Formats: sequence, structure tokens, C-alpha cells
Amino acid sequence: MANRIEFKGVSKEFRSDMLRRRKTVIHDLAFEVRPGETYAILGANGAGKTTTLKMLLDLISPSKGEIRIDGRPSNDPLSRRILGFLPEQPYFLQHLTGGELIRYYAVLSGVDRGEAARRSKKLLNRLGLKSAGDRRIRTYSKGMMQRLGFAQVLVAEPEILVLDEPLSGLDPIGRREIRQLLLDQKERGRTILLSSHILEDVERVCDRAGFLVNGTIKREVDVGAADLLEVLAEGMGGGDMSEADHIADTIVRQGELVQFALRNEEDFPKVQQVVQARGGRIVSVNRRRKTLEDLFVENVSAVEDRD
Amino acid sequence: MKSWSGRASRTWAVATHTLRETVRDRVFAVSLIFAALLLTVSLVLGPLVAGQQDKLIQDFGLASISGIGIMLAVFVGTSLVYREVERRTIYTLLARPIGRGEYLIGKYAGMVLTLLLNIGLMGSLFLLLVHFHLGAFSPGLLAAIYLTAWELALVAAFSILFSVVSSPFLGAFFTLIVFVMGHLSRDILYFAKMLPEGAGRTLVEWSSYLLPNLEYFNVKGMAVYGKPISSSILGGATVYGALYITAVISLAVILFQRKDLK
Ligand SMILES: Nc1ncnc2c1ncn2[C@@H]1O[C@H](COP(=O)(O)OP(=O)(O)OP(=O)(O)O)[C@@H](O)[C@H]1O
Ligand SMILES: [Mg+2]
Repeated sequence: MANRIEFKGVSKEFRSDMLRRRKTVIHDLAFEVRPGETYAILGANGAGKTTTLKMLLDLISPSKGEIRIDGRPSNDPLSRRILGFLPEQPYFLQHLTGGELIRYYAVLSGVDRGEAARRSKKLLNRLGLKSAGDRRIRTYSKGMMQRLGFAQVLVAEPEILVLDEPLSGLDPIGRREIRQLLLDQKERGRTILLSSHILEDVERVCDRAGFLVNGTIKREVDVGAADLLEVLAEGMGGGDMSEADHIADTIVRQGELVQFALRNEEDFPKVQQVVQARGGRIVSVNRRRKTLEDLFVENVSAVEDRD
Repeated sequence: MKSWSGRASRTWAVATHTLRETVRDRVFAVSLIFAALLLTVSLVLGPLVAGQQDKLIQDFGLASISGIGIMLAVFVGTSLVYREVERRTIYTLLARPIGRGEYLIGKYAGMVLTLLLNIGLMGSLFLLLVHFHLGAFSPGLLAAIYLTAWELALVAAFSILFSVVSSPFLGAFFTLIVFVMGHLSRDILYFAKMLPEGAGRTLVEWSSYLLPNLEYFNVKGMAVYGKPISSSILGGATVYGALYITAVISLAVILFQRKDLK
């Protein structure tokens, strides 16, 4: 199947009304999200994550370029039939109750009334808003708003989920629940595009990540494509480890200890040789998933560029 | 989705939820209480005006219905869409397969439902009072209320248009200007004829043609004096109102579709 989401040569410039000054926030942005994939846009505050997602939803229009959802231009309302959107710090019509809002939105998404009522009840229960469902949204806390935000995303059973900072505003239990919910959606084959600036939040759910720096995707990485074998050794003396450079992914020295991170298990004997040759010994061997932090470090150049 | 039934059902959903919003808003209840007060006051004041009391009660009643309706159309109408954009509640709404046109027309329809509910309640109360006071009421009063409803709907269309391109404050200001000028448009044209030939005169003439002539919807005087109101007056004003509203709302939709929602 073709890409679920596609950005091609997209730029966005805002004009500040006062001085008529132009400010280009997104520059020649290009990336795609494949079916069933969970893609994270990572970037510092002000990098342009929200702007990118708002263009995808046609809330603002790009100054240049092309955005497609399942092959359809994003300014066609039909493209949003299979899509659910959670804005950053979502806010909802205050005069409605949670249940009324979810049913209203379901109807706008083309779900019939009976089904809307059934789904709304189920979702509010699942998101811990069972008793709050009959209360006016006016009385909701920030975390409850975020949960209600997920309910309105899921009520149309969308194929594509677009989530702007989905885990912000939640307590640790809430984060865990929502992370589970995302994994669940993944399991069902849903495609997810999310934004975040918190690495731990996304690394357990996403397959790929793009680093958004100064309005463009500087580098894309496969998260979790590589498991690492961590080998910890001691007693090797000082000096550089250039002979192991081509074997290990990274080599980190912490005083007496040296940590080798291996991409391939087959390289383990070679590290053993290096360690023995230097008169050291191996203290521990651990398997761990390559973290986004590792990737971030590999991309320091990209990160250092941020303003 | 392209189908008309899909469009209609989404637009209707927006309209009914807008009605729910305005009815749950305090403004609506306050306006009803205020209207009831005004109508009662007219009953109290009536006897103080020798000879003319029947007319006064009817005049005062019709003016109250229209005045309170205008306040709702202007102040609620200009905040409806703006508030949703400002508070960003519109993001999750427009993230659904609904066009901006459907949304805006739904909002407008919801505003019209609000005005109809208001005028329905106030009008019934008014006609009841007149009935008890005079023993009967002339059908002219019904006609006057009917045309007031069209006038309010037209004013509300301007509220929506102006609130799409400016803030509620400016929107209300511009809408009130249209309202006042709309009632003076014949005078403005008359005034223009007295101006020397030139750009200024042309401008004034054109603006008086462009602005709605709201006097078409004003048959209050005739109703109060019991003059017959012909069906051609009613029909003409109805067609005029419907066409004018269509034009104003179409323009609002076009502008809204181009707007970046920040
Ligand atoms: N409507 C606007 N007019 C002018 N500038 C804007 C507008 N919206 C966003 N910007 C600017 O665009 C840049 C990117 O903003 P954006 O909200 O997309 O960042 P972000 O990556 O979502 O940041 P955060 O992590 O803080 O949410 C910022 O410099 C911001 O000031
Ligand atoms: Mg943001």
C-alpha cells in the first residue's frame, strides 16, 4: 500500500501583521509515514511540530508544497474520514458534558446515533471518565481533558492517529495507561504520527523518528531496529581504543570501566580478544534496546543546531 | 460523504449543538427575562398615556422583541465562531470529515434557531398580552413579527461575516453600523442626490445600494395602526432577505475557507 501520510517540499511562512515581516517556520519539509507505522516527530520547543501537524489537518495551509493523506490532498475534507487528531493541550466545548461531546463528534464523523452512544460509553469507561461523562467539560482537570481528547480521537475508529504531544499533562499512571493504549492501537495495525520532545515517551512505542530542526527533518532513524549488546570490561589501562572502533557501535569510558555497545552478537569474540590483549577482563554482558538517547547522541550535530 | 444527506446531517448537528450552546448560555435566559419585563412594563405604562394606550403597548412590545433580538444577533452572533477559534475547540471539530462551509453554515443555522426560539417565546408572550388587553389581536402583528425574524436573520449573517474577518468587538461594531445604515438607506440615497457630482457621491450611492434596506422588514407601524399588509410586501421581503442572506453567508464561507486557524 502507498504511504499513509506524505509531505513533499512543504514550507510555511507566517506574516506578523504588525510589521508585515515574514517568518519561515517550516522549510522544504519532506517525510512519509507508512501503513501500520508509528512515526515520531522529535524536536525542541518551537521547532515546528505543531505547525506541521496543523498543516496536515488543514487548519492552516502550507505556503508551498504538497501534503497527502492516503493519496488524497489534505485540503479535501474526505481525507479526514479515516483520521483522528489530538491537539496539544486539547480544549473542548465547555457547555457540553463529556458524553455529549463524544457523541456529537461521532455523528460528525458519520457514525450513526445508536452506535455513537454505544462507543462513547465504552470509551469513556476505558479512559477512566465513567462518572465524569455526565458532567460538564467546564469542570474537568487538565489530565481529564487529555483523556477526553483520546476518547474523541478513538470514537471514529480511525486508521490514522495524529497526536500532538500525546503524553503531556498526564501523571505517571496516566502516561502508562496511554502508552498501553498506543501500543494497543499499533497492534491493530493503526498508523500513528505523533510529536514529542520527550524521548522516553516515544521510544517504547515508535518505529521511526524524524528529528525536526529549524523546520525541516534533519535526520530520520529507525528506533528499535537494532538491539545492542553491552559489554562492560575493566583493567584495560588508559589510551584510546582505536583497535575496537570498527567493532563496537560506541565505546564509553567511565574511569576504570569501559563499555562497548555492539550491534552484532557475532562481534562479541572480537571484543573479548581486544580486552584480553590489553590484560583486562569482562565484567558483564547485557542486551538492551538501542534507545533514542543513543540516536540523539549520534545526531548531536543535528541537535546542536537548534537555536 | 459528497452526498447531500451527509452534508445536511453534519450541518444540522452543528446547528443543534450551537442552539444548545446559546440556550445554555446565560445571555439567552437573561434576554428572555428582560423581554418579559419590558412587555409587563408596557402594560403598566399603557394606562398613563391617555387615548393611545393600545398603540403604545403594541409599539413598545414590537420594539422590545426586535431590540432584544438585535442584541442577541449582534453580540452572540459575533462571538460564536470567534470563540471556537480563539479557544481552539474548533481544532478537533474541523479534524473530522466536515468542510469549513458546512461548519460555518451550521453555526449560522444554529444562531437562526436561537433567534427563532427567542422570537417565538417573546412573540407568544406579546400576543397573549395583547389578546388579554384588547380581547383580540390583528394579523398584522403576526406579519410584523415574521418580518422581524427575517431582519434578525439578516443581521446575524452580518455578525458571522464580520466575526470571521475581525474580532467580536469590531464585528459587533460593524454589524451595528450595518443595522443603523440599513434602516437609513433611503435617507442616505436621498442625501447622496444632494451631493455634488463626483467620486464622493458615487461612493455614497453605491454603499447605499450595497447595504441591505432593512426598512423592507419594518411593517410595525402599519401593524399597530391596523393597516392591511399585502402578501406582496411579505413575499417581496422574504425573497429579498433570503437572497441577501445567501450572498452574505457565501462571502463569509469563502473568507473562512482561506483563513489560517492559529
Ligand atoms: N500563527 C503564528 N504566527 C507566527 N508565528 C507562529 C505562529 N504559529 C507558530 N509560530 C512560530 O512557529 C514556530 C514553530 O511553532 P510550533 O508551535 O510549530 O512549535 P512546536 O515544535 O510545536 O513547539 P512546542 O514543543 O513548544 O509545542 C515558533 O517559532 C512559533 O513562534
Ligand atoms: Mg507544539
